[in-house]
Amino acid sequence: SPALKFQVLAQCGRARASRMTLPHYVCETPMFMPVGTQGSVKGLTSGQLEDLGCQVILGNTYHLENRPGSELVAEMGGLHSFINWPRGMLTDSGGFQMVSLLHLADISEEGVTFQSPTDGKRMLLTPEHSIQVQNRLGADIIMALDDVVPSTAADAARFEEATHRTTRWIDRCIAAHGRPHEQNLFAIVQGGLDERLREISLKGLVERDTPGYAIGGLAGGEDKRSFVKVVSQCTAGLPAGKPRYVMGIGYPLDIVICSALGADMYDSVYPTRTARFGVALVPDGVLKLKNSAYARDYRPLDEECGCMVCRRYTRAFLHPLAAKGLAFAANLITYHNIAYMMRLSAQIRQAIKEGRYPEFVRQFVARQFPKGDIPDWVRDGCQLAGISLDGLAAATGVATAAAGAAGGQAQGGGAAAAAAAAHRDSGGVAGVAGGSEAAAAAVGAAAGASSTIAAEQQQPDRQG
Amino acid sequence: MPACCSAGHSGGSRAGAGMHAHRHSSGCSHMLTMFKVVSTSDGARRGELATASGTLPTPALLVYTHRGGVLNLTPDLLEKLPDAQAVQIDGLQFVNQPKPEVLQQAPGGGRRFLALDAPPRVLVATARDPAIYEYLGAMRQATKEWASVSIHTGAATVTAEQYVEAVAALQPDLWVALSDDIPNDSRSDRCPKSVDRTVAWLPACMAAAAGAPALAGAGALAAVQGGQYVNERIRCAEAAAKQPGLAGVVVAALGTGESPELRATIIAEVTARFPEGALRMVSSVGTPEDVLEAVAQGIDLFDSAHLVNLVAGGYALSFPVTPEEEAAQQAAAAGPPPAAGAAGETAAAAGAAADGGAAQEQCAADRGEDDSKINLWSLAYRTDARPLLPGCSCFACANHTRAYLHHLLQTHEMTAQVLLELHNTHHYLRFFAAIRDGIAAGRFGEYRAWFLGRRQRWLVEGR
Ligand SMILES: [Zn+2]
Ligand SMILES: [Zn+2]
Repeated sequence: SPALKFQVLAQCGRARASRMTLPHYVCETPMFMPVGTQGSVKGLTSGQLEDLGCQVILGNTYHLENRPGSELVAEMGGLHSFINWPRGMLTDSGGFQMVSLLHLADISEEGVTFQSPTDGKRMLLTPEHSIQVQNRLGADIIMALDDVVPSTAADAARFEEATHRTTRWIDRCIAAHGRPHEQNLFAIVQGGLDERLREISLKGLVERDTPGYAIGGLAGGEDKRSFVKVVSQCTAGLPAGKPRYVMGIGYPLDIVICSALGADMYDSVYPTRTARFGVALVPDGVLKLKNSAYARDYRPLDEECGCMVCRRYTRAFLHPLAAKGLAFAANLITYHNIAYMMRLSAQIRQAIKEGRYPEFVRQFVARQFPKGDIPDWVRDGCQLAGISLDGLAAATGVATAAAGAAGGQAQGGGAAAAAAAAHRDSGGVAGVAGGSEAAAAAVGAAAGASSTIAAEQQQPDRQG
Repeated sequence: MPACCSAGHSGGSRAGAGMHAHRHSSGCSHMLTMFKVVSTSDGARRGELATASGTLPTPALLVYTHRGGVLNLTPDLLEKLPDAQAVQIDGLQFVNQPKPEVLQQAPGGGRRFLALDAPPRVLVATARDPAIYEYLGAMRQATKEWASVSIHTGAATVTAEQYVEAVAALQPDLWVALSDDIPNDSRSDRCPKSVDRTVAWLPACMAAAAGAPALAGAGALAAVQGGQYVNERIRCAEAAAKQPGLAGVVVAALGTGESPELRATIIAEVTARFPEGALRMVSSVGTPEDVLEAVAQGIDLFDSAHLVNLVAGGYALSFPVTPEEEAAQQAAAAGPPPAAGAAGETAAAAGAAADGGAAQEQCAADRGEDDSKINLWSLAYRTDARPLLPGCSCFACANHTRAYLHHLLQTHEMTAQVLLELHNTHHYLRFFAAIRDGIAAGRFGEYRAWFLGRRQRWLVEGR
């Protein structure tokens, strides 16, 4: 494709490390892409995102079309110029937001009809309209409008219809695409959790030969064993020389497993949203900073991190501020969480390039599940990727406990040891549930009462 | 023994703090002389405050913090403001959650705990958050033993000893004694009580500080209360001035509804009770005009309450800091600004949408500016591709447009506050630098006259 070059640099089993050249940036994959819903990644400046090593950020077409409007963005020189982000950008089709935010959305062959949240008028989003808006926004990668059915829906006929419609719509998207030399249209594989439908979708879309492909209809609360099965089937069925993007994936463990299956790109609001609930991502899982166990814990969020926040602040500093939901704490934890996701992506790439990705996966899984209670879906995923987890539980559980105890002693006594224990527990929770965003949301809601300045800056979460 | 003759030095763990406080041996009557007046001009004074964290030129702006954070600025962003040499921090925010011992026991001490250790900054601990005036202090019954304050954990009582412990944990260069902080309009029977308590707590604070090694090199400022009653202000000032070992005075609880005339009287009466060499601070005095008036009365230190309000309201400061900048702004305004056509159209469209006489009013509001600031909420900036302030070298102006800021405000994105705080702090620090330059050049009166005249012209001519 004229606007995208994709070169696989190293293959390790099914996993691959690649270089993707976009109009605005040369990216290394696998990569995580932070979501900047309305033109900023929560509380961070675009300069900070560059400092953090972000390669591509997402903009949500639906939100940006509401405010400030794609025509205004075009007048201001496109999204890159409007938000002053010099690197890669990706916009979604807007369809997902409509289906997920607006219960009234009604899908027909023509497009998605929805009621405008601002003036209540009925509006129609067609594949043509979505592409026109995305052409005006000007991102490096734009997404086809697909017929989204929640993966948990039980209606087989509806999945069948959506699969075929998505294929029909990609032709309309391709025909409407006005800037194929500057923007790359990715098709989205649909088909729910049905192997046959996914196969039909894959076949139809691969024939269209788009610059890249996304695996859609996942990350919607489906069971994780089905999730890895679908990802495995899709990555296997997609062309080797093109990028594969699993949409809506942001839990570190999911990224590690999907990369093992040969996926390249991920996006999610999880790292930034969970930060606003006081949850920091760390190699062992998560730290829930509202927990009073951190009140005297003078360690950085993540002793292996080295980001600006980990260099300057301790868990003890962040604890009371996170407990109150202060914007300042949210910004700091967001900064760290993005740093964590960037570091994880870099570690994945490095391990693939050095031909030791299976070992990396084993170590990663061992740290997330020190007790050896590895979920079946992780075992399934690893098996599909040809990575053995045999004998993992016993050996690593002991090693992690020892490391935790040593850390406790080194950092001065009971508080740190208690914190280490609390932190292992919460890590376990996140791992078992595959990341418990619902739980995080509940914690956030419970702590809704917040002080003066924080209160006026906290916004309801409107990200899809 | 007065502290000025015995003051040791905390030094300790502060990274990069190579500077030692001056201790003038001559003329050391009562005051701790870490401060010296370098030059004066038309009532204003250009001074230097020598601390373990470096020498701060005055008049100076103290950057605001809330619970240890520079409101919206993470340390990497604060580093983009190299002139932000001094920081104000409310000691009451460290009485509880975190408790003082959490800071004391932190590796590297309280400053490092708050990431305010490097680069070194002059840290001024106050007994009040200048941006959030809590009237609870006036409503609740304090006693001689404790102050009644409203903090992030709720209503609390704080003794002088508890307060000083919290302040010491911050390892400040300057600290303000605890006072019974009440607003200007407090009742006539409340004010004398406030003064009585404030007078009683000062020696209690000083005694507690004498036992705190972390405060050995730090200067103490007495807070003068008394609300709107000048005789009570004088009574408080005279009592405080008798306290040995002070570095200076804070004319406290201003910006609570007093008239400019009353404020000037209070400042004059209070500062007259202290020696010339005493450092003088005011609380919550903030607009450019108010700052100039206070500087003309010899005030040395200001907090950033005004900037906090500006950021909250979506404002970016836009006034020219020097006559040269005013000329440049006027020249730029004469030429066609980059997106003026589009901005004009938007304003016109908005005006047309409103009917009849309301249209004109709408237009004026949509312009979203006055003589000192622009309001980024205004529709006039929807497509304005200019920086917040053309010619400004701050990080926000170097990288982002008014249109982007308008959008961030509209969508309630926190990055708006981050960028506005960066710009406004940068701009106000430049304003203070210009004030200092004016005093140093012996032309402060001229500078002030230009500034106030400019405002008059704006009000009359709308330009
Ligand atoms: Zn970090
Ligand atoms: Zn600026």
